[in-house]
Amino acid sequence: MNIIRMCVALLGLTLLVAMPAQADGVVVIGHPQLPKLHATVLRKLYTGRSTEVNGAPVIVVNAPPGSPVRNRFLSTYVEQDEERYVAYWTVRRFIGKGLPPKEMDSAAAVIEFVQKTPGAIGYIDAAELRPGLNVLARQ
Amino acid sequence: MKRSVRLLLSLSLVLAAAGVRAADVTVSGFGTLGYAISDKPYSYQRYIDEQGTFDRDSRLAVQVDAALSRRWSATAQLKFAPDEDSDSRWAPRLSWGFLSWRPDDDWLLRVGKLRIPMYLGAESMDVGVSFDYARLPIEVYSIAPTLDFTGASVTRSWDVGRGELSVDGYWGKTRSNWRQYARDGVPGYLAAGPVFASIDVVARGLALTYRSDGDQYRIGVHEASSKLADGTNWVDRPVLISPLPGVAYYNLLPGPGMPERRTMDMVIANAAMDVGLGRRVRLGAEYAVRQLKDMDRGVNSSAGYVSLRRRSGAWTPYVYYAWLRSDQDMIDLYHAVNGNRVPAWVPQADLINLSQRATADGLEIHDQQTWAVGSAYALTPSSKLKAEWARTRVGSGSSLVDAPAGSDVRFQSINVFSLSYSFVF
Repeated sequence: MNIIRMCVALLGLTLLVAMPAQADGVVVIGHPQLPKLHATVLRKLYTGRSTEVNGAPVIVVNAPPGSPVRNRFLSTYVEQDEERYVAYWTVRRFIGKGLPPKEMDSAAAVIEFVQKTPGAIGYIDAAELRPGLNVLARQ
Repeated sequence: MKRSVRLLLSLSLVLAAAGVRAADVTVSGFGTLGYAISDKPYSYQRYIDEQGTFDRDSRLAVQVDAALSRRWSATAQLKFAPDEDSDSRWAPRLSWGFLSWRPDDDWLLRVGKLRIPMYLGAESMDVGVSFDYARLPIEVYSIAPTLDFTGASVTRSWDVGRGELSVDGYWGKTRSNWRQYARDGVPGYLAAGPVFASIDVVARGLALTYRSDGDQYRIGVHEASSKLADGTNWVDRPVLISPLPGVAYYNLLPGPGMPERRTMDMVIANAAMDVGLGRRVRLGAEYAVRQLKDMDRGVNSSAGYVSLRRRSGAWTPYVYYAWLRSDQDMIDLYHAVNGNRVPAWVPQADLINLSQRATADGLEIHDQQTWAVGSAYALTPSSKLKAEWARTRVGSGSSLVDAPAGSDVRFQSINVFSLSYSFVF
C-alpha cells in the first residue's frame, strides 16, 4: 500500500512538473509606490490622455509589437487591436501630441524597469509573475 | 533668413539650453510614394494629367521630438515635397516646429509653427498611413489655402463618458502662396499659366472635437484675413465698365473707381464625423462652408464628402462621393464675365477680350463632384498600399483644373487612377 501511495504521489508530481506553465492572462505591474489602478485609468495612460496618477508622473511601457502579451493587454485594457493602436499613436505622434510608450524586449526588462523607476507601469504574462511585484491590475 | 530656418534655430537653442540628452530625443518620419494619372491632357490638382505624375502625392518627412522635462517638449517636422510656390520643383520646408507645455492632463499649450485643427484629418493629412483613401477628398481638403501658421494654440480636454471632449483655440499668421491659373494670359500684362501671389494671412479659430472608441466628431469655425504681400489691394468684385455705348467689359484690377480693400476676410465653418456602423464598416463625412466678407469670388462655396469603408483583414475597400460648389451667384457672374466680348472694332479688342477670360479665371469658381472607389492594403501596421479610381465631373468650371488656352473645361469628366505606398518609421 505504501508503495502504491508513493507511486501515485510520484505520478502526480511528474504530471505537475511536465505540464507547461499555462498563461493566465496579463498582469499589470508597477513601481512599489503605485496604487491599484482601474482599467479606465490604464486605458487613459496607454493612450496618452493621462500622464499622471494622483498627481504624480507615470511612465508606461509596452511589450514588443505583435507579442501575445501585448495583444492581450491591448484587447483587455485599451480595447484596441494592434493596428488600431499603432494608427492611433501614428496620428497622435505626427500631430505633435505625444509619443507612444517605449517598448521593453522582455518580461525581465519590464520587471526591472518598474521596480527601479518611480511611476513606472508595465505588463507581463501571468506566468512571469513572481513574489514581491506590485500588481496594479489583473484580468 | 527664412522664417522657418529662424524657427528651427530657435528650437535648437531651446534644446541646447535645456540640456536635452540624446536619450530624450526621438526621431521618426513618414513618407508616401504616390503615382497618379488621368485621361486628360490638362492638369488637374496642379499635377495630374495623362502623362502621369509622382508630384501630387509623394512626400517625405522627418520629425524630431524632444522631451525637455515632464511638462515641456519640443517638436519639429521637416518635409520634402513639391514646392508651394512652384509647380516644377521640390523643396524642403519646415512643416511645423513648436514648443509644448502640458501643465496637467487636461491642458496643452503650444507655441511656434503649427497646423490648425480644421478638417478632421487636417493635422495628419500628410501622413498617408493615417487614412485609407489614396488621397483625402480634394473638394474639402482644399477649402483653406493653408493650414500651417506660426502662432499659439490652446487645447482643453474633458473626460466625457468613455470618450474625450476637447476644445482647440488658436491664433497665428503666415506668409503663403495663392495659386491661380490663367488660361490665356494677357500679352504685356499677364503671362498664361500658374500665377503665385504671395499673401500674408492672419487666422484664428475654434474647434470642438469628441473622440470615443475610435469615433470622432468635430465642428469648427475659422477666420482668416489675407493681404497681398506686394502691398496692392484686393478688388471686391468685377466692375462692368462701359467706355462707349454698346461696349462694356469687366475689370478686376485695382485702380480709380474700383471697390478696393486691403484685406480679404474669410470665414470657414466645418463639421465632420468618422464613426463605426458595426461589422467593421465606417462612415466618414465632412462639410465645410466658406464665405468672404463683402467680396465676390468663387471662394464663396460649400463642400463635402461622404464615405463608406470596411476593414476586411488587411484590406479596407472604400467608396466616397465628394462635391465642391461655389455659390450660384458666383457661377452666374463667372459665366457673364467669361462670355463677355467687345466688338472687334473697339481699339485693343483682342486684349480686352482676353482680359475677360483672365478676369473670369481670377474669380476661381468651383463646380465639381467626384465618385471614388479604392482600397488600402495594410502591409504592416506602419505601411499601406493604396489604389483608387476617381471620376470627377466638372460642371460650369473648376479652378482645380488648369484649362488649356482658348478653351473652357466644363461639363467634362476626368478619370484619375492612383497608386501609392505610404509608411511611417
